[in-house]
Amino acid sequence: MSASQNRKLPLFLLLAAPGFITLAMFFVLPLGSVLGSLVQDGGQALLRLWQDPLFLRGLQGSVMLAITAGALSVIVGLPVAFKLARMKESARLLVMFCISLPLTFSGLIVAYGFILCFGRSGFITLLLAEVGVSPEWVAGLVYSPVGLALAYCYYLIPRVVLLLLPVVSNFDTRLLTAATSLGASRFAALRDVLLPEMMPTLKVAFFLVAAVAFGAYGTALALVGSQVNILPLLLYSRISDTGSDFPQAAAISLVLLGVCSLMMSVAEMSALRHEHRKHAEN
Amino acid sequence: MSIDIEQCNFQYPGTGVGVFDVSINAAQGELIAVIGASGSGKTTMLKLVAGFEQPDSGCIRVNGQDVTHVPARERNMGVVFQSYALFPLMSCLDNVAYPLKIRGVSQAERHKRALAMLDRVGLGAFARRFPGSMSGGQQQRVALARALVFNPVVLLLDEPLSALDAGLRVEMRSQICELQREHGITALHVTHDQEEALSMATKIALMHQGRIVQLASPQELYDNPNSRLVAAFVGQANLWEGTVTSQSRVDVGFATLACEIGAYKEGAAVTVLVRPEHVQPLQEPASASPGLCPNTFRGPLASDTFLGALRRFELAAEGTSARILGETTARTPVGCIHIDPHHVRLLPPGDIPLA
Repeated sequence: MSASQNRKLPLFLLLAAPGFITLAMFFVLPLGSVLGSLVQDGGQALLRLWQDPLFLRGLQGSVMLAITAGALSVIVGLPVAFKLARMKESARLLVMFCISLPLTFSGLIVAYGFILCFGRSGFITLLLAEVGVSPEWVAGLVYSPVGLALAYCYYLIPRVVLLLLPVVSNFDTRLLTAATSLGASRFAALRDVLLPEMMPTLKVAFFLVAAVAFGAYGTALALVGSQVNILPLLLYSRISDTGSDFPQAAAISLVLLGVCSLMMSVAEMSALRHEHRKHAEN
Repeated sequence: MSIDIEQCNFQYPGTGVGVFDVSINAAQGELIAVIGASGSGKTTMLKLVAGFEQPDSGCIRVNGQDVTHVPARERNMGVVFQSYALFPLMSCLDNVAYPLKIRGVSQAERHKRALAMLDRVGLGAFARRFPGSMSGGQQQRVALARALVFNPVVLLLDEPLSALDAGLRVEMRSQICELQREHGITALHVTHDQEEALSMATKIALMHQGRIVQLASPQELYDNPNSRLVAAFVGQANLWEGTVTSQSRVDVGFATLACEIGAYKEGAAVTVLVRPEHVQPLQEPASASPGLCPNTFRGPLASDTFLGALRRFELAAEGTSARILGETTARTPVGCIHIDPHHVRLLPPGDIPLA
């Protein structure tokens, strides 16, 4: 090791220490203890989980919720990002501020907001009742996985918009003009030129917000309590007042973590492949 | 097919910028270059022809048929963009085949035709490559192939060579001309490079502030510019404001030049144009004084630039503040020059064109 490297090493350690300590204390350690309590009974918890119909239904519910919330957010977020990219700088800043606002709200606030609007005696539920829409139906919708997905969209859409905006802004609209000059209709140009270009980012956005929806529990707990069977609520029930099945909770955590990581890596890999393809030699 | 742009007006909303009273007639197979400084409206004019913008008034005809209100995608025009505008996620082959795909040509057929077109621009071996892995010159040739593969009615070139380096530009010029002639296609070529325009075009339209100042053959534009503006834009030029003093003399302030005054009357204000290649270095006459020999000036060189085949110099005419720009192939010292009266051109004064 050279002298200069020797001198740099202490400084490196000093600067890296806070990061390492945080990582160790708040990621490695908790994860380690979760894994620890999982192996305590020799993997019995995982096996029990697999045989538990409640868990399987919870997994199903969570996957449905993640897909619904993810898809809805991307479908709504994409045109919003488009509109934003074409706005004037000042107008865009203002709208961006408004769009980002829900990100700062806690899940509980969103949940109570939904209850106040769409609950059994919610403002909008009662308004809809005036035109003959049954309040039971509205409330039934809100307190269901679909309703939960809608509530999640409230703070997932801003994330999608923030993710898509740079890509939409950087898209060379001259490509659309070129496609038009070659005979493509507006729709064909969007489908053949813009969509393939946006696809990797759309996937990343979808999987990212789907992963958030898959793991979130604050809004769910406040909005639907235990009425809807999803994994985060199942996990909660295992360690709340009524239960203390830590190995089982650890097993559920592991499944949650695994599914979320899987989703993110699928998205990242497809984005990588996309970049690679653009510069492919053949 | 022929293109006729008739009295087109277009103004970008909320600005004074656009094109005004633009008329160009291009016969079948002609290559018309549109030149002018940035913001002169040349690209706007191309957009009107391509259908990317709608003229406020006037009309555009292709082969006599009014296409003014036909949408861009139905005009069947091949456009080559300055930025190439190749689709980054399609291979070269798919890029070139795209217009055929849109027209419902079967996959086998469109790949065959696209490949033939790529071969034609010398890129047959690159068919499976993606644009991102190719050089600017190669991308531009793919763009050219894509613009020609569907047998468009006209070819529109929007500064297609400006992003390429000098050597490649010259090579691409002849390739474009060759393809254009081979296809017998009428082309409109927008460029800010006058050399490109002079070497490629059958006719050149020079635009300034949204208007066409002169529309003429390259030779005509160079030899007989209709205004100071055109003379200054195309090629190098000595330009002096002057007054016609007699049937064969014009006063340019620092001297009185012998010339042919043509239709100008005595006392008329004119702009005097002398191209630098007509400024001839002389073996210094031993006895003759400048006063005796009109159009002859002596003096030191204010600048002397070696350009390879040519040498460009500025002679500071003795006893005046005038500098005369000249070009010569001679390598010997220059101390005295002569301007043949035949090569002294008189133009209307100022920037106002004749028409």
